[in-house]
Amino acid sequence: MKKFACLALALGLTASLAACASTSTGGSKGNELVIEGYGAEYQSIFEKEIARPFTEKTGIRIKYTAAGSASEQYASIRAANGDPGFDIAVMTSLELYQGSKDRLLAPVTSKQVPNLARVPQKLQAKTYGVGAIQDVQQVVLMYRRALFPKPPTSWQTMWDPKYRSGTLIFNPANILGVYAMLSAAELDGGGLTDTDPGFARIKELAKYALATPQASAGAVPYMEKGTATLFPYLDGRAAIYAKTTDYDYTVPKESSYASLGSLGVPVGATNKKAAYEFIDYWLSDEVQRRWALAYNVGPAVTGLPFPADFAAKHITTAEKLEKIKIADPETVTRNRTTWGQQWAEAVR
Amino acid sequence: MTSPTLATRARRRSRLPWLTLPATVWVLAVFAIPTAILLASSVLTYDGATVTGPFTTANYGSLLGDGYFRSVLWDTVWISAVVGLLCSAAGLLVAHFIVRSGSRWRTLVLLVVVSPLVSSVVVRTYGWLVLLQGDGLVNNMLLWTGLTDSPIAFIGSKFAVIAGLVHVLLPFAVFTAMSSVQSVDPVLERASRDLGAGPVRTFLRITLPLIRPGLIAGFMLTFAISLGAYAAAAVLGGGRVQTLATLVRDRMVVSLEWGQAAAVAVVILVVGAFTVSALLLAGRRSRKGV
Repeated sequence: MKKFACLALALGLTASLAACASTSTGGSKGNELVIEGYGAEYQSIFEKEIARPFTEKTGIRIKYTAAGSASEQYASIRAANGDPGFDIAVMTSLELYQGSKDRLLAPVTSKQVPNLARVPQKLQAKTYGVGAIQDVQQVVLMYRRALFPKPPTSWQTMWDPKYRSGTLIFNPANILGVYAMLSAAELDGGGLTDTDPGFARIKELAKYALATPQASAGAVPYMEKGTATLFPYLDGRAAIYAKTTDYDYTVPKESSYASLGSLGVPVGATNKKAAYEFIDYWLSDEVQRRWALAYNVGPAVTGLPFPADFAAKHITTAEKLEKIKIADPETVTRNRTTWGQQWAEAVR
Repeated sequence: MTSPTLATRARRRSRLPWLTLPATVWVLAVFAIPTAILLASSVLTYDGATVTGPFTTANYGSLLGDGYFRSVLWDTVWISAVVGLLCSAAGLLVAHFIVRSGSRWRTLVLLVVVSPLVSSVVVRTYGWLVLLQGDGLVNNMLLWTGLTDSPIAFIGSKFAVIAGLVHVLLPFAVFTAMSSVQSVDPVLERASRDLGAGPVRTFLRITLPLIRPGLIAGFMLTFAISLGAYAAAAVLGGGRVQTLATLVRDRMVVSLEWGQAAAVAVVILVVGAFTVSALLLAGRRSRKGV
């Protein structure tokens, strides 16, 4: 009898541990939406501009958790086999592509999300039917005002002996590093299918560069101390630090790449109906404009009115959206391991 | 009077194996089962998120055939060996001072050794980031003393990773060495000195052979932990120093190649187990020789 009691105790302990390890929220009903996204300023702007007004309008409470990068969020969806315990993940179009391939993201159509039909076809094509794009960021060149009386006009300036010791080379583990490498490759005739010139340039720059950050937040200390000269950055965060530091940003003449902020619904999400309602809300004109102005990014719906100085620096019109480059997610996903290795060898 | 006591003790002893059951279940749950899943994951195929058969050695084949992986493996082993040696050597000196010295500072030294353990590895690693960065304390001192004209790029170097790991792991080596030093009878050292040997000769000929098992244990412990240490390599390596642990993270999160990530994790286990076994064997042989 005592043996059985001990065995039961052990099994109970194991079962309790298994229950603790479960990622499912289980208890959340239709009036609560669990969203996983980015931290820092993104979280505070999201809560003020999106979450609170949405709750006031619909009565659906939002539980927001900041969990790191888009790739980490998708990895958690994959690890939980589509039931990670949240209803919406804030990611990029690369994760939507992967989620569609793995069949771990639920379909998102204009029937469930009517405002989706208003998103330009160029962006809709990058959702793979499993999400929505809610903003368009572009890779810009961030520079220190004191060093540049006139804004630099080319990515090439990063290799200028006058400035190269203060540049930052982002790791391709972060999508900013991928787009920066592609822009570097294009300076010498390369591109998405021929990245060798990009890595050759990174190798050359690595001898002098200030640092090799693994995330965009890694650039912040160098801006606060004023030690960085110029480096690639995403316009949302760039605009925030342009207000608080001696840095400003510009889009070089060679044009740039877009990073598409996306919303995905895991297949195992508990509150899919509320999730679709939320996505539709974010794609409405009013919210699109509010979010774009607050987070300093381009909206997913073009043709909205914006102040001239804002429109000059962000992708707000159909014409600008046509010009911005969007790297093919399939090619990026397929090559990311190799690029990571080439990058590591180049910066060693 | 004696017999019943012995009988009671014997009955108590017979119940003892049951007391180990929770610990056994715990070890099975948190170590053996995950390790088995890890091993299985490394020889199965991932179809998206689903693990499917048949068994394959492709994950290991592509890793071992990859020059980049081999260079990361070499760097990780090399860094771990240096960390193990530095920790063992420094740990021995500190332990010898704490145990043998009559200095009133020894309590303070012990406190200094123990104090890092109250903060997390991540905090300690970020502490080194602050110290070693371009305008950090170390570079400022080097510039102030004129030893260098411009700041040295410590962050992103193997030196930074090794410094961070030695700091994090030194207490383990000190504690292991302390128990060894304590087990050496001071009479033997005094006898050696009385017979004319100097302090260095006494240490090398008497103390060192006797504390060798402790040194080997300290090396094994710090080497094995270094092999899988992530925070120091990720933070102080600045993306430029890639180790097996950071490679696992990249394969898991960035490229979503979980089969390969599992294979890299198995390589960490195998290298650790092989080194520990080899050192245990060497330790046994040396004891037989004595």
